[in-house]
Amino acid sequence: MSLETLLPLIAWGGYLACLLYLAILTLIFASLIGRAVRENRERVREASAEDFSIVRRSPFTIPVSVIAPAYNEEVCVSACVHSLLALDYPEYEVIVVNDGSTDGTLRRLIEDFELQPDAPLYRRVLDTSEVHQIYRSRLDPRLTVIDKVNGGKADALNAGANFARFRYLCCVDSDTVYNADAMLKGMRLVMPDPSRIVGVTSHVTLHSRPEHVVRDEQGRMRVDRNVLVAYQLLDYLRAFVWARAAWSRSNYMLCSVGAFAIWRRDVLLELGGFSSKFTCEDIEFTFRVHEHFRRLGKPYRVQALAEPVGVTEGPTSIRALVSQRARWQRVINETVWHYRRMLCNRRYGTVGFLGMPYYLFAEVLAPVFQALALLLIPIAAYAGVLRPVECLQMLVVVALGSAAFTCAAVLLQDRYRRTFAVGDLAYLLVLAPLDLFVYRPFIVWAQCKGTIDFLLGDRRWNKFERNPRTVLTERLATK
Amino acid sequence: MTSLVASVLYVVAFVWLKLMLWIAADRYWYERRISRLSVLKQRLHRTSPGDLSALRAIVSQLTVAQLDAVILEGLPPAMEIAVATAMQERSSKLLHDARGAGSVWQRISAVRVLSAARAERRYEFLDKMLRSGTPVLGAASIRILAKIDTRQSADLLIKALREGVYSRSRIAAAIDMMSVPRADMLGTLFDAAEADVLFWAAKLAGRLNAREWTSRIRQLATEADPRVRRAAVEALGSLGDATDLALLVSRMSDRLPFVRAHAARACVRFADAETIETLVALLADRHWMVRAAARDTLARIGTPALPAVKQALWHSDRFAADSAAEILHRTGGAADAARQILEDAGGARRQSPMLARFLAVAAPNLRAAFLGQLSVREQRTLMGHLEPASGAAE
Repeated sequence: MSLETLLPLIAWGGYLACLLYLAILTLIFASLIGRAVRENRERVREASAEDFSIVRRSPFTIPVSVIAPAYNEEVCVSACVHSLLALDYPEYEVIVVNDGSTDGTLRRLIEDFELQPDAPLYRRVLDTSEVHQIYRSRLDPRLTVIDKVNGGKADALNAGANFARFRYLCCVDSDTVYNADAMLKGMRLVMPDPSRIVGVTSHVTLHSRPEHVVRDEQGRMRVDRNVLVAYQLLDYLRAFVWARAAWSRSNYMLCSVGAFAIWRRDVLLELGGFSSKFTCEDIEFTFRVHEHFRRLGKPYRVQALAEPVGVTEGPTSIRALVSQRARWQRVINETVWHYRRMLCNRRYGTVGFLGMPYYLFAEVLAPVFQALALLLIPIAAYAGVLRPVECLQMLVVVALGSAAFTCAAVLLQDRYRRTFAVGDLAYLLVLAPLDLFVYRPFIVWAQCKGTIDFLLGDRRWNKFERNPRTVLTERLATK
Repeated sequence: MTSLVASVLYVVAFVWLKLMLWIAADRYWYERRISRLSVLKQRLHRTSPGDLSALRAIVSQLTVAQLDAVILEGLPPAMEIAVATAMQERSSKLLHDARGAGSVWQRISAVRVLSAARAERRYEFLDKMLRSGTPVLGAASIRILAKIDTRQSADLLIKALREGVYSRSRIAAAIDMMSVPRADMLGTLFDAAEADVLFWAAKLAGRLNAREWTSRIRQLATEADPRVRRAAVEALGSLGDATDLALLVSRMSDRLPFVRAHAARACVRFADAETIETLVALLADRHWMVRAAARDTLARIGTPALPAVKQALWHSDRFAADSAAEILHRTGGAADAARQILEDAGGARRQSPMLARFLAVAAPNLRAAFLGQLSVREQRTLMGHLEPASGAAE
């Protein structure tokens, strides 16, 4: 067979495969949106029926231990801890674990919270790297800081769990500033049925400098005008407002985000704590919880709040964004590969038949089809299969299709929470159709890189460089 | 092919545009609704609760759901009753919805308006909602009953707690937050046979300072169910007196650690020398939770406990000795001893076997925490004045 006849065949075959993939993905997304609409509506109405004033004052409200691992977070750790200590919740403790930071994280904490060395009794139930010193705050007795040898985020969380006094653990990130009602909203899902609800997660919104978020007169956070951050915000909305809300409804919420995940401590201890064998601990632990309970046939639920509970730092440089997203892709691949036995396995119910196939199809295989589509363009052009007008039309179809899903997420968010000011809403809607050309190429590149890293066995965290804070921007933010 | 792609393009563009318009229209109607509601609320606040015709005119422009939202945001009590009554007169649909004929949300709004209007059948509707088995109806009912805050609403909540029709901790929280006298109504809970109910009976009695149930709580302290024993000793901690010490001390040897821990914490108000000895013995308990509770209680007792705690520095159990050191650190006993030595440093050489032992048995972090309070020079002076740790007890 000559090259002239082979190339058009390859181009047509690849073209049809990509189209089929796109069509199936569109159907999956559309069905998820359908479920997410009901989930969002019910959650918001449930919250309106709940009496938060009783919950926030009652001594019978379930107490929580908040664990915040920190590694080189000098810039924002203080803002994060301040926001945690300001949570509107009756009984909780905050345990910050300084995981061998090489910058001034510990010094900043000691200065800002007047820490003094302490020696509380604790159980070393989970094995962790060595703890140097424990500090308690003179300003707020609820704050404990553990200074330990670097062992990774999972190790730091396990060290915090060893110190935790309460039955529920809330694992948070120390680069995130939390809303005062974050814990109330999260624990509201646990309270009606603590025996069955073993985990709750939520999501966070993004800003280039979370410690200096600007809010309007109605308390709504103003969207960061940095284009890269705004696109990431849209990405988060799509992921959380409809995808995870829908997963939660069918009890296959497979990713409790590291930025805010509540777990029952007995479940964490029973499963041996967070694992350091994976690049990130959050997705893997969620998979492990599902695997455990479904294997044993015990009733359980992992739920997701569809509303943001805080603001985290989004990368403002392409390099940092690619590094972060490549890591996320790598950890998805690692986890799906590790738990491949659950795929289409009857024992694992919706996790096996909906969650795992979704991850495999929409996450693991995405870079493969994206790379294939890009590769096909020159082949199809050379073989004469592709005509410029059709190519342009297809690009516009994909761009508008993607924008339609983004609009659906924005609509859900705005209809049920009214998070955005009118100007911000317009800004996000204008950006949405340009996603394919301005933002998506970097994400495709990151996903491909993450997949290659996974195949090469890379396990590094690749923490992104914190966004620069100049004296001038600090002053402007203060004003 | 071109026409197929073009057709798909038209469809996708249409969906995208429709969603954009939907978002814009939805936001526009929302802002309009909010501003209209705000105007009506301002008019409500300017109107006197006695001006029924003016109230009726305002209420006629509101839906039940909108009035519900206004009530939720808060109105002065007299105005709330007047407005809700005006709505009740206007809408026969309220009773229809309150019976559950409409959606769950219509039912909640209707019952809330009827409750605000002090309608006769409000308790009947609320009780049905509470027992409906639908979580959101249960949560709304608890919220309304707690807000009504009458003995009748407390009675409904207490009965619901006994029957376990909704999360017991949530119902108990609502009962706890009410202000109407309700301690005498806890008998419904104390008569129950179910351990879960007895647990909440004791917890609530402790919180409500219901001394009339003290003798029943004493009985519960020896119940078969450990959770009930735990709640009972906890309640005795706030309701009991020195005559309960024997009972609390007996619970300190309970077979379950969390009962022992709560018994240890409960006697902080009236601990005598004998109890302090028992608490010191618990510093070497086989369970960490009990040791921590004993340590915290001894630290809270403070000065009266210090002689026994100092003796415990020589305890053969290293955890007990370390806990004793921690209590001395937390209560300032160790710092006081150090200060005495430092103040006397210029004079005769002063020994403190207690402090020497403290530094010997304290875990490295505790030792660092203690010495961290002193300057390097003071640390040197202090260490120079201390005999090795083998000194006899003070």
